[in-house]
Amino acid sequence: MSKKTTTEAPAYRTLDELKEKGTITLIGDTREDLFAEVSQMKENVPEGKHLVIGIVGRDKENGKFSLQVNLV
Amino acid sequence: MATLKGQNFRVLLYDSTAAAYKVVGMASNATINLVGNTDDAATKDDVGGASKPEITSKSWSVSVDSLNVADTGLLLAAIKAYQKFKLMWDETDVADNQSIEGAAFAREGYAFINDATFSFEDRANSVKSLQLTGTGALSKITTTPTTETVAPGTYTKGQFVRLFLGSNNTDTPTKVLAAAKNLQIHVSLSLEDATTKDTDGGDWQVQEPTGLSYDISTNALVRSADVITSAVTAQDFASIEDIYEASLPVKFQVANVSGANQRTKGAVIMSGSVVITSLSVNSGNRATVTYDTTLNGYGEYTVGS
Repeated sequence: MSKKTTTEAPAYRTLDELKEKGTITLIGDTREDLFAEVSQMKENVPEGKHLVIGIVGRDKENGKFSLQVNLV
Repeated sequence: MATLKGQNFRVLLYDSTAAAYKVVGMASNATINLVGNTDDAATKDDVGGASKPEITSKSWSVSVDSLNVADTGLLLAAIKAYQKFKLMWDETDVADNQSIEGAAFAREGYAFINDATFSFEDRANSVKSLQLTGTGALSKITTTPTTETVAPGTYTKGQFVRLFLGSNNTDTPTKVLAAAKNLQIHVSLSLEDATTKDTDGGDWQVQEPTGLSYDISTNALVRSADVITSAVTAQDFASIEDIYEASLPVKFQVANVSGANQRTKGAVIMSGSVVITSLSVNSGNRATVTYDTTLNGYGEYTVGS
């Protein structure tokens, strides 16, 4: 089982935050964690909207991976 | 007299969600071009041979390079939507290189991203290069604008962004471009001078977007035919030749990748259809054989999913 992201929140809670702010930066221990969270979010995107995915970056100091997701 | 170093001359873009200006994060370079377009006003009444250039209009542009490609998807969406950006430049405080100082040379205006290049070179930090062309006036800043500090950005090594190419224009592409070394996405927004006699604001040019084109360039190794088995799971020079010879568009995706050999497709950044307009092989004696290919966008691209 993959590790939870550092947000420690299920994908639906992350999607709620995305709906409210329009943009969110996912943070995870692996790239696969981020992709898995995006896949779950995609299944619950409101009708008429879609996800705009950024590019995974890596923090040079703590090694964490991050991915910007926008709801448009 | 104190000189100003480049890290304290910053371009800031307005974030409408945050209602604040933010520096272009992880910027490595910025240039400002202010142009006076002229007509020669010399007539037969002027003695001598000197021209008399008269400023008839003014145009301006800003270019900025950045090692932050995290927002590539959002920028691609903005360009496609012909989004107009509000931007400014100013001197920044040496304490954080982000807080604006309100220098006398600071200016703000509106611009379109008319040229964007996103480069993903194997094992190197990925880079974006943006050119924004101004529409309308540049203004001195009389009221201190609201700014927001940008958190430290993250780096992306180029091998983690890859091109997947289909063999037709119907099926979702599953095959990565094998042995790739470079990948570059280039988007160009055509702008037309829409200034008329009705335009207020002095002689500043007003721009209107009229069209969009994009191309994808890549360089990869030509692998030995011994390596390619019947169970072909990637696109190689031979299959790229087939696509070229068919003269038809094929589906593509640019995606984040992970896993063994960086070939497992993750979150898709951009997709659409392309036609191969250029394919060339480089085979210097005793050097690795490589090929370059340019794929021109066919129709609109889709960002994200």
